[in-house]
Amino acid sequence: MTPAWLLALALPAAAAEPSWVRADPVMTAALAELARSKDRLAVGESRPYYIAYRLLDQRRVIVEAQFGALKASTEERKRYAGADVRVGSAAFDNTDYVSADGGGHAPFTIEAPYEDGAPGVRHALWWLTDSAFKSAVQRYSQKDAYRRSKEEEDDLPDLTPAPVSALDLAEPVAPLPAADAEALARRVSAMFRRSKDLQGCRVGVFMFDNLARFLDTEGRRSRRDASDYEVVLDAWTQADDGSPLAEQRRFPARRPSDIPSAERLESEAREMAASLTARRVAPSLDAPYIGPVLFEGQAAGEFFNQLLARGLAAPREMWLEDEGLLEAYRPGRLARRLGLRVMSPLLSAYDDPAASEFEGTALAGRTLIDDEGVPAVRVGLVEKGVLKDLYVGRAAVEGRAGSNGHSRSALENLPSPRAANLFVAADPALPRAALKAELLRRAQEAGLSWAVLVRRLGEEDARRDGSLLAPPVAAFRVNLDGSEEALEGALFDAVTMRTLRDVAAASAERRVYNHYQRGPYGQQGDDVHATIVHPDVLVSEMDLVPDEREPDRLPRLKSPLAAGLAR
Amino acid sequence: MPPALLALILALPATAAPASQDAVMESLQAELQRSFKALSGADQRPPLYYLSYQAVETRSRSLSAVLGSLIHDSTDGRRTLDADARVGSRRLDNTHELKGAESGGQPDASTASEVPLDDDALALRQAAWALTDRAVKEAQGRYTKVEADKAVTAGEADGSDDFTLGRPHRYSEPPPPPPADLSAWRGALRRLSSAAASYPFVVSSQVTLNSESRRSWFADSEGSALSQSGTSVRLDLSLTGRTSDGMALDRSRSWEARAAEGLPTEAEVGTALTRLAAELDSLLKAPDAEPYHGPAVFRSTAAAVFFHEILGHRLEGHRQKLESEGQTFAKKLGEPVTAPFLDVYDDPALKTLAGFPLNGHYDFDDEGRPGQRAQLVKGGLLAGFLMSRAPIAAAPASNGHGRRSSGNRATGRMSNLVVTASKTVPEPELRRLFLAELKRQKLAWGLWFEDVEGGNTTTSRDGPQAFTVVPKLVYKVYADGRPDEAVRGVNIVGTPLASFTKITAAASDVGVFNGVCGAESGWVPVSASAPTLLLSELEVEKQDKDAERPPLLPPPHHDAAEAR
Repeated sequence: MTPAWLLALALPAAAAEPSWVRADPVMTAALAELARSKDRLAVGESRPYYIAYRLLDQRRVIVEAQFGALKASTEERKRYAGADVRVGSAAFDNTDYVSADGGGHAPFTIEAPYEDGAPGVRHALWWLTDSAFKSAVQRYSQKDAYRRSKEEEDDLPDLTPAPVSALDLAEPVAPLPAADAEALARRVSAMFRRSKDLQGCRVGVFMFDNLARFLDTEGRRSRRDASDYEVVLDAWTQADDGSPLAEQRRFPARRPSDIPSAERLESEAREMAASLTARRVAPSLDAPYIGPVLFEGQAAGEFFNQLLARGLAAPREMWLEDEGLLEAYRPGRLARRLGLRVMSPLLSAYDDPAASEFEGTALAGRTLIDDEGVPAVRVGLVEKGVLKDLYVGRAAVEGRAGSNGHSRSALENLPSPRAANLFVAADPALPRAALKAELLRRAQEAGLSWAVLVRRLGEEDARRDGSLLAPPVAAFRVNLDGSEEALEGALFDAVTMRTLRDVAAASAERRVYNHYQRGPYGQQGDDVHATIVHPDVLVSEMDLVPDEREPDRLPRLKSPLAAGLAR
Repeated sequence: MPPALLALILALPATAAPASQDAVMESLQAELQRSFKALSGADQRPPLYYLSYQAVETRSRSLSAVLGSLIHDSTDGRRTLDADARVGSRRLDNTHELKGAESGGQPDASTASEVPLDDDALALRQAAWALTDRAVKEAQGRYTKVEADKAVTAGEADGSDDFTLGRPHRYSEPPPPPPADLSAWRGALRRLSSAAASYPFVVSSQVTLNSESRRSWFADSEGSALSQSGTSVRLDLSLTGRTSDGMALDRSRSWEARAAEGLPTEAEVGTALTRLAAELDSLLKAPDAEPYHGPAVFRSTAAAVFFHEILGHRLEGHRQKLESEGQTFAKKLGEPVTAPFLDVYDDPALKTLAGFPLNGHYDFDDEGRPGQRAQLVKGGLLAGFLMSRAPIAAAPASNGHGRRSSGNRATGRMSNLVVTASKTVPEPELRRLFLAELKRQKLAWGLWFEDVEGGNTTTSRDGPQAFTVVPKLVYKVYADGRPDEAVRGVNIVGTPLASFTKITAAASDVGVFNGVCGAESGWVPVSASAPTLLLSELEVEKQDKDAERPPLLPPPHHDAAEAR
């Protein structure tokens, strides 16, 4: 796509709104309320110095099936509106502060009529802006009182200048009928009927056809397709010793055409069922392991997601009245390491938000403009292991000039810096096939008779006891002769950011990991599409310890599936 | 015809009709029988002695409009399954109240999950199997705690069993039609919502239309097999305003029917809207209420809610037995609880009353017992309780009032609560009696409660035995005949026993309040009906109000400055 914002940047502030804005009744209604609020909202001396609106039109289909039967099907149309209202000044406003009761600035949201034309959108924004403004005035006074009570605080501005653009990136796509989602869910989940070992399964098909609009009092205007499709496969059972076993595969997509085919999903379901069958009788790790670990495929993607992508996000550090909240509001773990070596010198990383595909696979993280209305730009993050840059939004961060257009969030959260399309590459790199040999060479060198290979890693939510890395879902014990056996009940121990520096080798071939990126403070539901294009990686040494959780009791009775009933 | 014969004839279709089999029922019964056979044997510790499944399928359509535009349009379909697994014996089982330090009381939650909507035998049986396994493990775990708790705590005042066994029932209704198509109402909702927003004092308003089609299946280890069906539509209209001192006030109205054809016309709703807007306008201009103690009148629907909250909940059977409960009426059978001219009963068999459809109708309750009329008060004397299958000393059997929503354990609940008066006067006469009472008490004015929203009541032993009813439309009625005036910000407070002895007269009208009622066993549809009642004494307090200022700017479509 032509970088339209280069042209748009040249628009003088007072120029007429672009034709697409004038032709959009929702934008014009929102603009009218934005102007009225900016001009006339006041309480005493307090007036808003900045207002931003986000509007999301949504047609939402949620379908679930299990064992070939439809379990739930809903279809809704919605329009949500969010308002970010700020008082004070860009240097010091009501944001980036958490009071003693845990309250902080967050956008106000409301449901607005999804039909255009009538005064509904304006009315919703009027109500929303009023509430957000009153809250902002109160929050500002609390923050100001806190500032007066403290000797030292940073003097970074709360809102830095950013380019002003007007972009219409809407790409109308014909929505899929709900019946298609139902048929897909039934068909894929029916594959799980073939495995007698499964206790339960679920196939979810989520189709959110979204159109996002943004406008603010500094002149930013945007309209873009923000659709979100996902197919999620879940299956679970118990090992013979009662340990719960579960597998999940998620397939996020931005367009209906990027949803994997039914055949591919059936194949994934077959693989999951076969994996669970193998894991039921797999031996568990019975003693701590210290040695090399090879991460392949999804596991390597999650490895970089949990250790690197999260660490690269640099939100503005909060002013916290309660220091007990420090851990909850900890910024990215790499945020203060600019110029230092944070990864193995083999590895470099950059983010190219405009990239739409890699070797034929669509990139779900593609982002042309962020949720603060700022065009997203390429960021050179790590060069030969040395940290060069971070993801930054409009809230100022020590050492960075301003937003690079990577601030995103769900509507009800304040946008925060995140990865879009994170590309990680190794130089020198090994052919993928050589990594396993290198794993075994290192194991032998360390005097071990086997090494660990991880093909699937739990997602962020599965992390336990403050660990930086979730436990493996599919781990294998690789014997020195190259043979593999499934390995259960292993947890990573003592993982630190040093693990990124301990990457000893990586593959030349790279894979696409489309996933959801959670915000820097880990709020549930604050997930946005993101992609990591990554090599497989070999870490020279990691600790794995046995999972000490007591297994559950096995079912009293064979399942109907296992008993061959009602087939 | 003698009443006993009538009751027998009414009961016949329910017990004589063979249950026509369907895929859901067949799957539930097959899995229930397999599980019960395997898990009720002596080798199980402790064995299952009773198992039931209840599946509920709900398909719904919903439309809402504000300011002339649709804001919500959804279709939904769900099927839930609850398993009631009981181990031990009916004398003492896993549902028994825990009283010791580790107690947690009686379990409110039942084991439930969502199950397939498709009538697929394997998928349904697999879901039922997983649920049963979880339910039995939970039941066995809790039974161990019950036995230990019994050993270390004092005996209970009411030593009745935990469960009543019963004879099986078989009953089947045809599947319901799909939820009513609401498309024809889109235009009407837009127009009505636009009209609602046309009043400058209305800061928010909404018109919502829901249609629902519901089917349930019940099977248990005693051999019951019941399937019931129903449809409903509901239209809600609400207007909200805010006074300059920060009080949010609203007026709302709902219409229920079994099918869309039973709804009022758009013109009729429009007329109601005009009236609601006028009432809201008068409320917004009304003075804030002062605390008051004196005579009062409850308009019929308000009186019905008053009885539902204050009397009905306290007559739920389990509250007479649980050690943690206040047991207000546990030992008062045969004693006066209200005016001698009043009767109160609860009858789930009623579908309509005085031409109004009743929300609380069902044939069988959520424990598979036929819904029966429960006489609660006769001639002002306490006559009975709302009973589930958990017996109490004063009532050893269920009267078909065991109700719950999915995920909760059934307890005795109301269905259609009906208050009748054997001695009534025309409404003008009731007003004359009210004015006379004001004069007798040397009061310049009294309060007339035209509409109430609902309320809440505390029944547990560790809280005050008090109630709150939230009035929505209250008038000050002057003893000297001046015109009535609206007042706002009134809360009715008091203690239950005292309130009911103060009812001195009833009008000859009937009002029906349809709604949903929430308690430990979840949300269930109910109705309450009563005549307009005069009380010689009532206490009100000022309602809490939030301190929020009204919006700083006028609504955009009423902004005169912008229009210029």
